[in-house]
Amino acid sequence: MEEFRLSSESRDGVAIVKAQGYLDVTKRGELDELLTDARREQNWVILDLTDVRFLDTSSVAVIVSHWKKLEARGGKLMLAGAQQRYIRALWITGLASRMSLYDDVEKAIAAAGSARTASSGD
Amino acid sequence: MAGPAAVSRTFRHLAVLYRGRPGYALALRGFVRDSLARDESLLVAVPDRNADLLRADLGAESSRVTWMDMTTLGRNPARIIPAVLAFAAQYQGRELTCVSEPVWPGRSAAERQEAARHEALVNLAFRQIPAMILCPYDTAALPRSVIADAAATHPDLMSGGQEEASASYRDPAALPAHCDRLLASPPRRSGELHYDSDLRPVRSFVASAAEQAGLSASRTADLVLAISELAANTLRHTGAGGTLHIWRSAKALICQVQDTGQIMDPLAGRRLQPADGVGGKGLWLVNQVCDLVQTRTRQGSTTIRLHMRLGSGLSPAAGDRAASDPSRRRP
Repeated sequence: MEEFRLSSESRDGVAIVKAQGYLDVTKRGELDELLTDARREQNWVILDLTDVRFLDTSSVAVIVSHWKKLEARGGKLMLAGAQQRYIRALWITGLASRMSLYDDVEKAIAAAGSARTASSGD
Repeated sequence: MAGPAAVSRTFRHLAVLYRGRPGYALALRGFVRDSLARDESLLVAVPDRNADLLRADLGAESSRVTWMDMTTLGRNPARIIPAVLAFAAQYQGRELTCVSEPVWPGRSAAERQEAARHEALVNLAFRQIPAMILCPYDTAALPRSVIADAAATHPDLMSGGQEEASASYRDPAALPAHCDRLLASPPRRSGELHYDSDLRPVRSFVASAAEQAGLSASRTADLVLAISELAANTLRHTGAGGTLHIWRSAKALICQVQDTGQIMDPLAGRRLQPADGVGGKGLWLVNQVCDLVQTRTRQGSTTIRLHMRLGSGLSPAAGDRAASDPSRRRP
């Protein structure tokens, strides 16, 4: 059976929240809490979904609300490692084409780094 | 009702009765040409074989029409309203005409019930929207009960070029009684599982039943998600758990979720879903991925039955999903 784990760290000025196993209505409170903490620390947040095998629409709603709050203050929520065969809700709702998706955490960090360098150079 | 009536004066929902394929283009031609002449946004959602008749009749003008194959979009009739609402939102400010043909020969009794429910809900969903919704019904090919349902769910009928108010239409939300009868109990051989907190057993139960039934990997994942959404609603909206049943019919894998809640909004799962909205998308998603959804809800009891066709290799109507996949970034 799917094992659930949620953890977070900060690296290169980016907060990374890593989920494992599944994200459903029974875990939305924990996901919300960790993303809230991450948002307090950093303007750039990566949600690592590489090891998530199931995600429902209540988790999508949590993701959307943090995505909007970050965008509203010039930050960004990036999704790493989301695979369509597991994270179907993201594609069915059309969100996958509107949010920033990266193959893995390293690529998301690199993208965050270059975007932040570009904006600080202005 | 003076207030709402003033707002809704431009909404029209008309059943257009025609006799067989020879009468099809003739019955619809006037409406379609009128709509194009007024430069409205025009959506024609009918079975492809009927669309061909209209395209031939319209000639070059047919490129100004948005076409959808109803046998895909409306396989689950609960997908039609949100699709038309999305089309209307895309062309906000323009008048809208929609030709919507939800019943064709060969639809099952359960599908016809849900198509009639859809038609009744159109009266609720569009009453604030300046839209003309025309629903062709083939009196030569469809059972009489279907035509009776059409009369009961449309304020106006058009037949042989004559338009009249429908005598059997009563109330916007009224449903033909046979559409809302309780569903027969699941067969004794069906698999059964109770849940009240952890949804992982629910998902693995559905996944193994779907694999055994030969559902493809992607349709299995869709069904697992759909059932998990329904079970999540149980946990969120009732103080108790629910029961899952799974069985196979001749043509489909059928999953049913039953709990002690009641769905108060008749349009739940059929409203417009902005991609970045945070509202409840669970029932909407269930409608998108399943071939048929039967909902029976009353005080203290809700039963939702999902049908996934077997052996046909069908994929859900969310065709835009494939299109949205390449948007994934590959730096």
